[in-house]
Amino acid sequence: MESITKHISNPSQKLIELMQKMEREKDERREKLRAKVDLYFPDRNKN
Amino acid sequence: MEFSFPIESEDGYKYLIELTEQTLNFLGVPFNYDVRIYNITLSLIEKGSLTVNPVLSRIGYILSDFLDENGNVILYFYCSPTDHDIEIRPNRIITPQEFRSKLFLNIYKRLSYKFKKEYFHISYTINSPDGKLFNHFITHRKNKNIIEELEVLIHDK
Repeated sequence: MESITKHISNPSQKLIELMQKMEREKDERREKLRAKVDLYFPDRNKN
Repeated sequence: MEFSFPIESEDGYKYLIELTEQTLNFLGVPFNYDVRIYNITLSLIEKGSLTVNPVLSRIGYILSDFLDENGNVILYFYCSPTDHDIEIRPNRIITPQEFRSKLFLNIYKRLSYKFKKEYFHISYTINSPDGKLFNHFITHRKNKNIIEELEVLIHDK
């Protein structure tokens, strides 16, 4: 097993924009996922 | 392609985890490797009463099975700064993205230590104007060189 952590202290504007894109896509996926909640947890307490 | 996994613990925690295949323009540049990248989305649906640790192990099992059944796969986890779908104790001073990063590291530790699997993990912490951003990659060791190529692409951005 191998685990590495790296820091990018001076990211380019393109990299920051890429991260913003990742954030937007993550939000979209999370919304889609939440729409499936009733499918996977039909007995969930909806109160 | 996407795969969804519901997780429910005995103490009432409910999570949904989804693995979504990332399109080839993952980094906005050509990426021509025989490997598929899957984005991990983890959503807390309902809080339980005790600890989340058993749930983390089950998430670990799911990711481990997915990696083992799909050899040429890289799992990617972007730690979102939104405070939705997570549970941070009020007295804990930590950003949502850092909390998610630590959560993912805990899951990885279960993969590697508890399950004795030979995976390769790398995380990138990026200092952005909006704060630190955390990105994690996990794959089989045989795909380590591809992660290193990804790193070059990231740095060239």
